[in-house]
Amino acid sequence: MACRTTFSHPGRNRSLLSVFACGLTVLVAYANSSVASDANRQVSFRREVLPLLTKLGCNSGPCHGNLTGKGGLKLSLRGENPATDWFTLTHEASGRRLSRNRPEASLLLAKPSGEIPHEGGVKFKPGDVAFGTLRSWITQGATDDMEAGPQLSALTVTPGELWTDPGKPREVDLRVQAHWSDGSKNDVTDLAGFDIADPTGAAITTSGRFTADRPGEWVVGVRYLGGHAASRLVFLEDNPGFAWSDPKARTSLDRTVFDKLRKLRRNPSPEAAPETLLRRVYLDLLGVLPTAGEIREFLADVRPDRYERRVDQLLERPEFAEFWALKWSDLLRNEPKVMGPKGNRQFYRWLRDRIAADEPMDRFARELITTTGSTWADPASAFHRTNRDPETAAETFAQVFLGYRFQCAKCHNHVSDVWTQDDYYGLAANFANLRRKDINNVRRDRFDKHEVNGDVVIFFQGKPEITQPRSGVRLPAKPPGGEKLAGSATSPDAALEHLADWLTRDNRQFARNLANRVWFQLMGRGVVDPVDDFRDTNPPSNPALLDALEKSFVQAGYRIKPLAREIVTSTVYRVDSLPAANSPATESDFGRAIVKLLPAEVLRDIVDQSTGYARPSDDGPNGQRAAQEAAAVTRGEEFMRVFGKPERLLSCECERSDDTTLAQAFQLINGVTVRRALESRENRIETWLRQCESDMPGAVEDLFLSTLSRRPTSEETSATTAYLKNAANLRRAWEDLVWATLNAKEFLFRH
Amino acid sequence: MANGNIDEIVRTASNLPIHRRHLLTVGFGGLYGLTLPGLLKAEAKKKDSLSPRVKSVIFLHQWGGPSHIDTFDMKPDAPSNMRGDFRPIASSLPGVTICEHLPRFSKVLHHFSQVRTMHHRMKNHNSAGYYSLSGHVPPLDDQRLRDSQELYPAMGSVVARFRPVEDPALPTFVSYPHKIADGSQTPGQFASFLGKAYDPFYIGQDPNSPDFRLPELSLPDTMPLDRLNDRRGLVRLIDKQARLLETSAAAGGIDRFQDRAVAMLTSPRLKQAFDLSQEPDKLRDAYGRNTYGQSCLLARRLVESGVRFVTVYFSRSIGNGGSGGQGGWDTHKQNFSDLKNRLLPMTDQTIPTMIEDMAARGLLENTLLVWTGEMGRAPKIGDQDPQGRGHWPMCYTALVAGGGVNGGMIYGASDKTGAFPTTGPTRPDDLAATIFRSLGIDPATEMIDTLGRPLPAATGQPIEEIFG
Repeated sequence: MACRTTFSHPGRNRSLLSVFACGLTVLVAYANSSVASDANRQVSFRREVLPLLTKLGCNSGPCHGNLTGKGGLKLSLRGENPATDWFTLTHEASGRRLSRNRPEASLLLAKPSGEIPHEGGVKFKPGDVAFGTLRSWITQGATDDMEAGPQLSALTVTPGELWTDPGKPREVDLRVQAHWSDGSKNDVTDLAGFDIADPTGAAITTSGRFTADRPGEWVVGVRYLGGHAASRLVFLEDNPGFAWSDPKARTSLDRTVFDKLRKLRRNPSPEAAPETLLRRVYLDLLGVLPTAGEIREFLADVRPDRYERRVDQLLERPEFAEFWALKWSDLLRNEPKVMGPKGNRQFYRWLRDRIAADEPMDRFARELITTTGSTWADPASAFHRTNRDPETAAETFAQVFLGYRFQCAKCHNHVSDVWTQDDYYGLAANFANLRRKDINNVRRDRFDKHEVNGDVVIFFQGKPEITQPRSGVRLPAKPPGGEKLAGSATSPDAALEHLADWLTRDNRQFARNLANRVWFQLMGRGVVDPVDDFRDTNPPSNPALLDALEKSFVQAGYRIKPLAREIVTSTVYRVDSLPAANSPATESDFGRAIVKLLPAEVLRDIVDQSTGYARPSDDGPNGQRAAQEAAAVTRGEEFMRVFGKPERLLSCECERSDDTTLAQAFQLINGVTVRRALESRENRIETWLRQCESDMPGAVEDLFLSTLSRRPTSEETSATTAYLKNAANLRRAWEDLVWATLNAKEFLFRH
Repeated sequence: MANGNIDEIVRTASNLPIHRRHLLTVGFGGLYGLTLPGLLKAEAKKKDSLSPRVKSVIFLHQWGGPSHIDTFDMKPDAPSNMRGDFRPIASSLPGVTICEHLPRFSKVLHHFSQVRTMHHRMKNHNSAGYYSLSGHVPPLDDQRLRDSQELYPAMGSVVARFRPVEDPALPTFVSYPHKIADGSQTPGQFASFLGKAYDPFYIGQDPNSPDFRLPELSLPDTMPLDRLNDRRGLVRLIDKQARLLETSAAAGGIDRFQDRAVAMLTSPRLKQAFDLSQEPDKLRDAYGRNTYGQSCLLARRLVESGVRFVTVYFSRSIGNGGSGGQGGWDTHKQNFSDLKNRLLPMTDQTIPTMIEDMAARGLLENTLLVWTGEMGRAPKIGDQDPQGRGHWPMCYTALVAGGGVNGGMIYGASDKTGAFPTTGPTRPDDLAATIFRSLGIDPATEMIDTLGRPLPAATGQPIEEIFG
């Protein structure tokens, strides 16, 4: 992806700076000689003018912050490069952008105020604070205050959280305070930028007045000079008939979810029917359906803890490890082209075995980060095989283990997060002394540098350092937000050991990220969502819930299975997907089960499982499930691609698509994947046909249990048996019936 | 539920305000040349809204890199080791010549505006191909550049996102008859981070084949329509029992797609557009009885039926020729004989027929037709054999017709050997911006990638000068 860089050429930067230095002298002299009247307070270019331009969006990507600028004016993206911006504003275009004698005639004021046409529209009016600030800066001589003065140490917003009762105005004034390194603080509301995470139904003015046109919950992100803060604003709905349904809290997770729901005056859905819950937990833990026999057995079980017992069994089944190894294979980019067929399989098995053994995730992460050597002999080193350069390794590390999206900071300081380019390259430096030796790499395509099909041996060479491309400074290895590697640590593996120590020893973010990911896999939505986008301006939807998850995960020794067990046995996991009758909760507050299209692999597997079809495989025995296949989609069928199986070229959960598309509808209606399962003469339809001769309702019941995991309603039984009885060709009629269950939303969705 | 309800997304997309108006580019030369009031007046004049100039775009992609020097931008005065075997002939445009092996083309040249200053620096097909298909600079010049969601979508996918067709029985973006590749599949042919909903309706079939039909729209013999209707009836019965459709936008979304797919299967509209047998044999012959000729004829039919963006790939692979007459424009060897015997005769048959057919039907008024490859070819003769020409992205020619284009205009000029533009270079970014602008999409329109970053549809500037 082409990122926007500004003046990445160091030589160019230097020459600009020298020009600007002489310009500065002239302007300063000019400023000192006159304009005493406006000198009541010196306006700072860096602390006021640039933040103002950023706040108004002038230097954003689509406007003057664009790589090519706009309308002949090019500023650095969101004011990253103050010195250049100052030069641009004061010197370029024959200096016409500023007029000290007639400030109002300055293009900097006349265009955004609409005095003369401005493609970007009217940004402020004469009399607005912004206008006054810019005008003062111009009349004071339009100087740059350079790096002088205290640095921003923190940014706070008040209120940080606000709950407003029904009937009260849905309106609040946010105030933003900057705290400086010299201990001083001041109000920067008029200079700060505001972003509403989900702006539907709400708006905020440049002066920080937030209004909502309906009840609901919003998070407003605030940014100023690289600092960030967030405010959570809740406006309660007037539901006078609200009565708390007082659901049974089984776990600490339940208590945090119910506390919030009760405060929101919303009721969670009642618990789902046992067979619905059973289907859900099989799909979420194993990626397969319960068989008709398993459902019957479960429903016949009268013990009060039948569900917990079943969960314990499921966690020990091989499908659990296989299904979760698939998820980790996606995240860790276990794709066949770079891993090679053998490496691909080895790594999948390594992941599967770790999950089956419920290895603590701190040890798991340490092994991935620190293992070197042959990727065939020790598949944990695959992390360094598939992340082939320090930058990619840094991005994967941050995204997978910390839930941070570092990519933006590669080319510019992160816009909505604290990460700088120095953080990015400091993390990349940890991986900078890794080298890869390809063994027996016989490329089918000699021009394809991406193909690595033999073994790869990972080893160290040189120092864990990297050059930050914009500053040109050589950066030592440093975990993001941690201490940099001590100069005394000279062993070649010191940086990775240090990084693994930092990550796994009492690093709350590591635990929170992984706990949130497990919650996401089972509940369908992260407490922080998207799961790999932790940042101040994207806070958890329920902070107490995230704390509880973190605590459970740490107490369980960083193991997945106990946390998964706690989640799926809690009441919030058991609630129905249909809303409560009285003041229903929404999916985003976890008061109602999330309805979600099943993943491609699971869909194909349950089509085969419910029809009893052993699909031929080119990667293993016939009937091998898609979730058991090590390879990514590149060799797969169209069905898999259309339903969103990722190619594993990104370490982002977002690579797996859950879009619904027309192509999926065609696949379901007429695609070969479904048709083969349906039309095979060895499938379960033959069994149902035989059963039909003596017991047609029994056969129909078996079909419904096998596909939809429930018994048919009486309406369904009578309609389907009538359809079968009137059929000229019974086999075809059964195919129609099975097809209908496979196309039903109950089948396609997790619910 | 992200992307759950596709209809809603489409509705939102079509209601999106156009954020930024197209801006007049003013370099420093412009600034000094104009007085401030004049400059502002010029800007103000540009402020009319981005109303679409055309309803549809046909993008003819010449995979492999056609030689500009041996076709439209001939250099008869260049040294003998550059100018090549072919002679220029006069055309319907006074003073403008064309290759002698494009005699029919010479009579229709007045329909086209020629952009002779196409320029970029990607020397590998996959990177250059991605650049020409997406309008965005590739992250690296790599022979096997891999597609991922970190790369930009196809232009047609951007169009599907921001200017979808209203008719639910029609796709917005159709591409065929190949997915192009150079070793690995060339990026820029699909929707990338925009999401699968904006992928092209892709047809991997040969329109010249006698049994050309759409697999999606062709039910097997065992599935007559009434059987399909029975099946849909059974699904409705089951869906009614669980109330998922009432409460889940995603479930509702796939239900509507199922209905739409059945509608497409049962409605004749799209099927008819694909039914080339409805065309007179004489016209089919005139387009050329080969994959390319019939693909171009199909493009005209699709546009007539209301499809917004059609991409026709000339060939699946870059490679030159062979006996099958397939393959692209990558004439490292035998440049002249391959052009003379295969590539130019095909082009000379199909494109003049197409432009005249479209003109006669009045289609050129609301369709933009673009003919381009991913690069040009090196001025200096001799590459993999003494008669070959190597890759040359630094200067090549694109043709643009219809949609208010100033037919006959030659935009920009290359130097005396065809090696570099002598006027400002035109990048694929600018060509993409021109295409988006024609459809009423502001090139600065933001798309959100998988990391939540706002990225522009195109970073270039529309080539306004070629419009009348």
